[in-house]
Amino acid sequence: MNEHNRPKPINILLIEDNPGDAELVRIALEQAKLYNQLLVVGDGEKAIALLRQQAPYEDIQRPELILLDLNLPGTSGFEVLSEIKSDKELMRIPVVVLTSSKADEDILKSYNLHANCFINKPLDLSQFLNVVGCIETFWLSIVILPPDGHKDRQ
Amino acid sequence: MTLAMWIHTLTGVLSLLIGGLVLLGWQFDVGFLKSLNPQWVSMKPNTAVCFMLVGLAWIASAGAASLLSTGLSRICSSLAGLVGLLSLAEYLFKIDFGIDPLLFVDSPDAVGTSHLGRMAPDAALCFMLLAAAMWLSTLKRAIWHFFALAVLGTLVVSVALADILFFHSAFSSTYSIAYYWGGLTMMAVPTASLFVLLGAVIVWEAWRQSLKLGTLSGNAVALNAFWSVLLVGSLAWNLLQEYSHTLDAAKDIARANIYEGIRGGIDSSVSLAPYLAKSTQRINELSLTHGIVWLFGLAGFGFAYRREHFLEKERQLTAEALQSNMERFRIAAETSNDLIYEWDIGQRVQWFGDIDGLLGYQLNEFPRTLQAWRDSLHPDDAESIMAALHAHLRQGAPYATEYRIQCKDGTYRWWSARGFTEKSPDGNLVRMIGTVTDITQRKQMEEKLLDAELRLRALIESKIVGIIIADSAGAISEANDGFLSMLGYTREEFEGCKLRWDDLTPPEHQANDLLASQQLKDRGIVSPWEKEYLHKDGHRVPVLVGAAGFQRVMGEVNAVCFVLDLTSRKRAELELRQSEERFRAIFEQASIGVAQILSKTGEPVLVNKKYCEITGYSDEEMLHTSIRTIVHPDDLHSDLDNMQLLFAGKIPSFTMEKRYYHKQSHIVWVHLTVSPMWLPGQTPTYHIAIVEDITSRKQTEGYLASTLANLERSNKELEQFAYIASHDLQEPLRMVASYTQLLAQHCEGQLDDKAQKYIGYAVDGAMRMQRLINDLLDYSRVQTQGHAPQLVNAEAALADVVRNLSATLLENQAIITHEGLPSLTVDEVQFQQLLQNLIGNAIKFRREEVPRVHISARDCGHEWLFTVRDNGIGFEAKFAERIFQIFQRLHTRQEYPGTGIGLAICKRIVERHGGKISCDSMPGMGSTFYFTLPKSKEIRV
Repeated sequence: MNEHNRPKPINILLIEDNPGDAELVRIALEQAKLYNQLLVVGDGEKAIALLRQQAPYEDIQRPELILLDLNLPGTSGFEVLSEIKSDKELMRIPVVVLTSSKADEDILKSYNLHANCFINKPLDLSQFLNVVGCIETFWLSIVILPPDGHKDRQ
Repeated sequence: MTLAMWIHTLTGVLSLLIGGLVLLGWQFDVGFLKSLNPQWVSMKPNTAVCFMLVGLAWIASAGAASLLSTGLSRICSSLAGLVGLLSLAEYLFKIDFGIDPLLFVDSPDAVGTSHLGRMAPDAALCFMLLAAAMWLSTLKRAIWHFFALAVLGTLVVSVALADILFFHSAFSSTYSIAYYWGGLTMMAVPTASLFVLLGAVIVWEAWRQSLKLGTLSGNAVALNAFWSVLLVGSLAWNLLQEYSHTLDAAKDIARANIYEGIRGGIDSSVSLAPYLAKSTQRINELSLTHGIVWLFGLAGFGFAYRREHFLEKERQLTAEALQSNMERFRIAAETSNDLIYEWDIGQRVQWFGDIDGLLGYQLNEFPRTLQAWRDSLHPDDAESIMAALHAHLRQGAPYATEYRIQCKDGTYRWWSARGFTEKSPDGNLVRMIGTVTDITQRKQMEEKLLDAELRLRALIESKIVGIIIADSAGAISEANDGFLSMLGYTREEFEGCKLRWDDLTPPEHQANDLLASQQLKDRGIVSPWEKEYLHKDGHRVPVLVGAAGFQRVMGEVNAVCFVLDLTSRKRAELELRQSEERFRAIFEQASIGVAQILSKTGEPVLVNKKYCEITGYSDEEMLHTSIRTIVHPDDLHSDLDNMQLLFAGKIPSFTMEKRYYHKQSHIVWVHLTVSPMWLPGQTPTYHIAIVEDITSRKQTEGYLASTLANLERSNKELEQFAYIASHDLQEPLRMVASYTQLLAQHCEGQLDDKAQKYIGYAVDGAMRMQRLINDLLDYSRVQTQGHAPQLVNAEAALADVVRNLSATLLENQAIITHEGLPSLTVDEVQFQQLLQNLIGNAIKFRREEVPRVHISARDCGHEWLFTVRDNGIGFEAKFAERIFQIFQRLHTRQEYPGTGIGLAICKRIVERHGGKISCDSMPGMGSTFYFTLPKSKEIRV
């Protein structure tokens, strides 16, 4: 669990319109003490532009992990998910759907669009922090991510 | 050829032959041929020629008489007769026609010849007689012909025979020069013999022919011949005696003269004169005597002839009378249809009358035989007729029969035959005579009459129509079974007490009957009128009566009445009327509009009350109002199109919804069905329009449609709510909860207990709020996210539920039992949720004792009744309704956690399935939940 000596931080893209939630995620990630860099975009269009390294995100590296909220203004979370998973460049990037919904149809729809996992945001703060910590631990420590990202980074 | 013809011909041939031979003798001067003996007189050439002619004539006349044969025989015999006549004339008148030496010249020293070459005078006579006989025989044969022939033949025989006898005496004497007939030429022996033969044949022929006419005639001819021959013989004999004496005397004188040297002739004649004179006198006396006797004989013969002639006449008269009778008979027979037959008991049947015509044959074509008659009998009659005939012939039974006989064309005629058999005195059957009468017409008439009788009987006896005969006073003399059964009387009753017209008629019909009676008297016939009769049991029988008058043989005028029972017709009429009234009532009172419309125009001709109500027009107005003014213009086009299709037969009927303009100008929606009005065997002229006012339905439909739209919108909004609830409502709550907690963390150590407690309330509130939102979400999803119903085994579903709840059940040591759980069609997930909520509740609200839950189901026909009974804490009955309301709780959260959504969801699931849920409970006594689920698989939306 303790990977302090990682030379390069892992880029995590959080797509979330609610700054409160974004803040909570940031707090959670910070508490996890993993070496990472969190990027937050507030809507779908920006997220897509960022991922495709389009203006004004030409210099932003592609993230290794995406945390996606479904309830977004404008382009919905599902549309963003669909865009990512149908883009050959982007489809390898794991997408964690992090949403306040527990509805079956949202869960099914997310997985049908090839979400890598679906996680409900707990109401309780400690639970929330725990869940985000688990995500970070799982995806950044346990999971072996696709190598392309490393190459790009290098 | 008959014997007579043979004899006739042979005689002719002989005559021809002898004549020819003699002529040959003359030609070649053969003495033997001319005269058998040189001492005898020769046959003269003319005689020979005449014999040849006679021979030819006889040969010619021997065969069947024809113009040629008769002519030839007459010419030949006449020539012979002519030669004879000329020769005799030469003798008598001492002249010379020069015919004698015409052929041959006689030698000067011819023996017994007075004139050289001239035939003997008696031969000449005989030829004449033969010629006469030939003429006679070729004439039509009458009785006197035979007598004449017999006389002629007898004369020829007599003359020739006398000559032979003289000849014998003359040449038997030594004195060779002897002449007969005054010293004239004698007949030669062959000549005389031939004449005897010819004469005898003639006599025989005459006798034979006359025998056919009668015995008396034949006898007379024979007697005459015999008498003549006898007389001639006697005369000849006497003459011969006389001549013998004379000749003896002459011989003596001649002898003396020889002695005296005087050559005979002159002197001897002188010396013989006295002898000759005496002899001549004697001869004359003898001849006279014999002539007289012969004349008597001839007279007797004449008498016989007269007698025979008389008899012949009588016979002719009889025959003529018979003939005339026969003719009359024939005419009688032919002019009537009667025939007379005569049967010889053998095969021959003679028919008098036109049997051929009667049976369609040509004249004389119908064979006159018994067999022909027998074969023509009708096969059905033949046996009985032959039996009758035999009975008549054998036992003498009278023969009178009727039978059918077949005509040539195969048809049959009816004959009535009678007959009588004639018997000989010894009892043998001689012949049968009888009459036949053609009774075909009579038979046909009889058949027609019988047929008419049968038809009339069938007519009368048929029970279809009652027939009675009544007299002018109204007494019914005759009635058929049809009439009697109509009025309930038996024949015995009718015969017993004669019925009277008046008695059978109810009083109010009497007047009408009187009119009919008057009409019958005036016109002889009454056109049918309706009335009633009284049945024997008193009820009235409606009838139709027609009558016709007729005069009976006795002169009385009666009426024959035909009575038709109208009961069933009246009943039918009544039924029809009732039926019509019924249908009219249905038509009129129907709660839907009905219109009979004319097919061609579509305009109504008959409308019912409801139709008028719908349109607001009265039926009278309706008939004068065009359909175009009533129908909404937007619907008129499709209406008319449909009508056209319907009338063209392209569609059997049509149904449409359209709008009418009510008379008060508002729109009436109607449901219209138009179909052809079929009458048997006709193309429809009318159509029936059924009109139902659907205005209110239309309004309801409109309302429903808007409600449905609302509902859909509501559902959409609900879905929207669900989304909002799962996303938008969650976030602020989380913000509240998280940041409150974060704040607590952040200010750790700075907050007192009170602040901590407040933060705790805030977080708890947020959390509760989240639960409420989620429960509400679940509640809403019962409707929006249900699944299609499928066949579910309730027992299996329960097993799944038990498995889901296994942790809870284990923890509580709960006992779940069940019975009679069926398979049913439900939304499986919801059904499980239903059971799970109820069982879960039962365990949640447990008492101290071991929780027991029993689930059972009962078949209630169209639905299943499920019961979930527990032994939990129960509740007061007044809360039975409230517990199913959303978020309604009976206990504090501290006692029993939960939002109070479980039973509300149960209620919603049951209601979605079309069932009902209820509860029965008492505090501390456990609770029983009931819910029903219909068997139909529809799920209410």
